[in-house]
Amino acid sequence: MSDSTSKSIPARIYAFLCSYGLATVLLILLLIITLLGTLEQVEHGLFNSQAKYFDSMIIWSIDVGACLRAMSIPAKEFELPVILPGGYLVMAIFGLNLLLGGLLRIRKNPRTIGVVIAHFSMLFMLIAGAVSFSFKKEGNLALIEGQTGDEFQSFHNRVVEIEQVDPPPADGKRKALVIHDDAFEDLVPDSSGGKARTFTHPSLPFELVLKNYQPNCEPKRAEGSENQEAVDGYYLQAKPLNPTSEQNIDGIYAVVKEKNGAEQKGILWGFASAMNTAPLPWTVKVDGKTYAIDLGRQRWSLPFSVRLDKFDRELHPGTERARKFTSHITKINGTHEEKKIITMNEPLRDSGYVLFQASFSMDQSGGSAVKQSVFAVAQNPSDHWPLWSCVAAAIGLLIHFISMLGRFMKRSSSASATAA
Amino acid sequence: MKKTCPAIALIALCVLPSCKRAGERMEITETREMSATARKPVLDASSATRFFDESKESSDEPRQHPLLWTTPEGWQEGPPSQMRLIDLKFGPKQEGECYLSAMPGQAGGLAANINRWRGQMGQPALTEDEINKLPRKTLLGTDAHFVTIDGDFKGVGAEAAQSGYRMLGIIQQAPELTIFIKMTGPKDIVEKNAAAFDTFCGSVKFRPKGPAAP
Repeated sequence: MSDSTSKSIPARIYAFLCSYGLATVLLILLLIITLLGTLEQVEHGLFNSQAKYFDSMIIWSIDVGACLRAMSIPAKEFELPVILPGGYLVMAIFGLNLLLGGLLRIRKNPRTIGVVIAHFSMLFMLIAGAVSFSFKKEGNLALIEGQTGDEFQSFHNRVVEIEQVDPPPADGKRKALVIHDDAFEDLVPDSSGGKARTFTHPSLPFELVLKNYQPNCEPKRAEGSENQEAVDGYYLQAKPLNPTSEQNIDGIYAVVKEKNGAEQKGILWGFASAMNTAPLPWTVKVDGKTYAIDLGRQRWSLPFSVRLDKFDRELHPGTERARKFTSHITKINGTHEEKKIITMNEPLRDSGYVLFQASFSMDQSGGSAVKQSVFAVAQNPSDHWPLWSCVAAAIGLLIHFISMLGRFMKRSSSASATAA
Repeated sequence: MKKTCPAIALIALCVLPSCKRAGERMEITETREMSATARKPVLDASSATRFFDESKESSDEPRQHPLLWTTPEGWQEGPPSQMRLIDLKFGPKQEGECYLSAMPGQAGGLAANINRWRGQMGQPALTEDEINKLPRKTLLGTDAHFVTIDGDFKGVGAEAAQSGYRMLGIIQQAPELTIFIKMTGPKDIVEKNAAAFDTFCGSVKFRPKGPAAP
């Protein structure tokens, strides 16, 4: 005990970060966060709950009412203000604890090799989660029979894109300037008239001002209303947030400020860009050039094209419930074409991308309407890491248990020999 | 002390992303190259159109169909949808249908679409050579591939195929747009309406820009 009092402060911090006590507290916190997140997601939705409890550094409140109602206990609205470490922070410190205590400080000898492997596998699992959180691209690709696509759109990430459409680019390749949602989603309206941010780019003959972002809204006619933000007779009316984040339709006010001081005002609304056939952006003309400015989901390119040749669905007999969806596709890479089938639980894996059969839709207005197949697309650099981690953990624990069993049997036999 | 350095680095790595703050002025740093199959935007759409304010559209600027055509005598016209720009029905019990649809780009290619139609009629796929030898008709002033397929027609969502059907189809490919006209129905009724089909196809034209056509 006297040794601990003589330790330097860094050594004490190191000892604290390595400790079993810290590991125990962190695991209990993870348990609590998981429980609260699971309960809250019933009313707040998976995406919002995940963002609040698992993607965050700090949790500022717990919706106790929602948690109780999720357990079928009648409860009124009650938001409890708290300061709890969020899942991101807990897992980061737990990773550090595993690295320092479970890998660096642990005694390394043949007896502990299994435990070291198991600790490494847990750390690797956390790293896989961090890589996935930071670099994973996830979205969908919807194709009508006969249609070819090589872009997929994010489920959640929003962007404002500016494309010069006239004159078109000299090389014929369409390009868009991209503003990510983390640069405008904080521009929510407030009592002081709202927040604004100005975006610039050397290639643009104007500055784009974005202000008063509404995560779920609908354009309404301003007739009879005294809304000062009204543009071209419309304003954005806020709507309650839908727990399923994909169902929210966002909007933002935009102002194009030309270098000569002239201004053009517009409204960007997410639904206008969601049309599968053709988006309806806000069009502005500056210095003889035409620009399309749009608010929509972030899009990523696939390294190959996919053509939907045919879509089949099998129904459970006598019902409209689908038993199986199958998409017959052609994967096109340059001039090389390859026929593939994507069906439930049998995705297409290629070039680091995975295409799953997600859903479908049909135009029921006519007997021979067009079928649309929707693929969930994911690119995750750590796609297989959790599997490898589990295999490593199994190997580590197997080694540890066999070694423990060997030692136990050895002790038992020597004890019986001594007794004899 | 050496062992604490990776710890501090790891904490910094975890905490730094949350410190990102946007200023009042920002330079756009990302450019995205769009795919050749990316959707083409509709430019200069009014606010009423962009916000799907149909009552405003109808009162301020009557919504115009992008095409003009003549509906053959005895045929019935249905309302256009996103998938069917022109939707017609014919036959004594309106059992035949004929519709025009358009898709951006090559829409998967000529061969894939013709063979998709042949699949719907229970017929084997054609080779590229056979497709090249298909007859042509004129649609919107340009040559377009024409197919006649007899067989058992199984539409989308249909439980069973309908036997004794005929399909007449036209596919016209342009770099930015592929236009389809597809007519299906009992073979005898389609035969009787084949001339009307030609009349209809010949009548389709783009609505001229400018004042509303009568």
